[in-house]
Amino acid sequence: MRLFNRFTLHTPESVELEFTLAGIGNRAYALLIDYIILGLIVVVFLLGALIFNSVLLETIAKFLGSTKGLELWLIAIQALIGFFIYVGYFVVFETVWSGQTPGKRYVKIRVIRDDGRPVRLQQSTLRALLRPFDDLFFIGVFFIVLNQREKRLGDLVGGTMVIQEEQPLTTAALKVSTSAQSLANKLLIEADISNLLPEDFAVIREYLQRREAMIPNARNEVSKQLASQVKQIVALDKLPMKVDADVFLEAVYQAYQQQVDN
Amino acid sequence: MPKKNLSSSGQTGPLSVGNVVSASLRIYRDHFKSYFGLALVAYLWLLVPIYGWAKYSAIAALISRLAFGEVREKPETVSDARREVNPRMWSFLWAGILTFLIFLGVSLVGGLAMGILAGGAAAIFGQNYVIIGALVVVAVIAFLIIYIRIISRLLIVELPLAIEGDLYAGGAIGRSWQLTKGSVGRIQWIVVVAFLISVPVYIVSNVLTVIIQNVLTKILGSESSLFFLLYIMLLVVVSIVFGAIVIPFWQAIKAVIYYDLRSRKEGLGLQMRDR
Repeated sequence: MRLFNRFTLHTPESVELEFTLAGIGNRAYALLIDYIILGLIVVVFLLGALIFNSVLLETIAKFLGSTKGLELWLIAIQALIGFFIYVGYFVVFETVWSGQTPGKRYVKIRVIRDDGRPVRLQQSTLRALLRPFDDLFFIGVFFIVLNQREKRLGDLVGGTMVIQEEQPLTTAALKVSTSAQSLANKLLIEADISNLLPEDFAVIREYLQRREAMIPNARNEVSKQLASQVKQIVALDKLPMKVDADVFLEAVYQAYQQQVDN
Repeated sequence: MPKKNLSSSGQTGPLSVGNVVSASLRIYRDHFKSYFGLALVAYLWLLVPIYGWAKYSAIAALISRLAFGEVREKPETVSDARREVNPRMWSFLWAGILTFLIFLGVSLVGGLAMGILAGGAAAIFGQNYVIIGALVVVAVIAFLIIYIRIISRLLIVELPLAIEGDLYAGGAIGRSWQLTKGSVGRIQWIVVVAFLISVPVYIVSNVLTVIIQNVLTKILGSESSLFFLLYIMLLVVVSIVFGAIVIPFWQAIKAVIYYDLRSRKEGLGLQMRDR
């Protein structure tokens, strides 16, 4: 997909790994989710601290009569803890979930090191510490948009980049109706299934996977069009039995797979 | 069997929320000069009543059409796309007016319903202001949710009009309604993320406005009428330029949403390669 930046990594073992970079949209989306979660955590923490402080100060005032300076100390310590929560959220998740936070996991992106290895404590700490600067006036957005490798300050310093998770190929077998199965057997004999290229098969499979979400009318049209194109490709003049386009496509899908398996 | 080719047919196909935004920004960035120029002209047309507004709607739709061509990897030249879009200039204006009237109608009905509700609540609960207040809050939230849903459903009205032939304003509204059915949540996330990313542009424009004000105050003093004249003029220039920067981004977002929805719901792009 030419709309998304790709990056090819040459490993020392001379293996080429190709990644799709995460893109500003995914990164903003993931950050938004993370900040919503983090915001909830901080609110809970602040409420807890507030209650804790008032109870503690009251008790101490009862025993000692005065609480001079203590309140400031408490606030300072709690501000520090708050900062650690902010930094720690990203560091802990990215380290433990090898480069993912809840937001990144939901959006299906991941931080990796420049050499393709998973991030470790050091890199995620650098990223997290520089995050406030990237967020300030949205400087990070400019960096990500204008930089070929989409690195914000934290990525530049930490030596990391953010990539899209490879979509696992849905190899789970599609359900094929029994009439399609029997048609498939006939097709293997009567039609030139081997004329189908892998990318033709991919289109059929994609249609079969996605058809449920389609508007009925449009779905009818697509399946008819695909069926007539496929019929031409596999050099089939007449169908062995009268079926609708969907069943025919299922049969071709099945026949192609059986042929590849042999 | 080469595994790589299995993942997609080479077409872009349905996109995730984040990828819709990234793709839109990428398309805009790659065609910045052309889209920005168009948007600038469109903005200037806004100053001319009625005819200019129609012109504005047509140019905005033209940008969306161009972006749609990019995302489906069948790019058009500006003049080709313009030839397609221009004859429907008045339909775009009419569709805009219709959409506006729908929102107006919804607001009126909503306002009326709330008035009746408040009156009824006051009659039943009398002086119990807490209950009445809570009811009003619930009603306002419910109304906002309905309103935002309707905005999402009518977000892409101009696209069917710009891309599918033989459609009129009413039909385009119907198409937008049909395509966005069940996708309101996704659209809202897309809009929120897109807005987040465009915030830096708004920040820059605000900073610029403050700088202009300060510089002019230093030079001319804040009392002189020359100050006001210059200030207002520069303010108009800044808002037009930054408006023209932002518009193509949103037009591209709409185009990619439209592409994504058609790909999901109508299997757009699902066809055998030519051989």
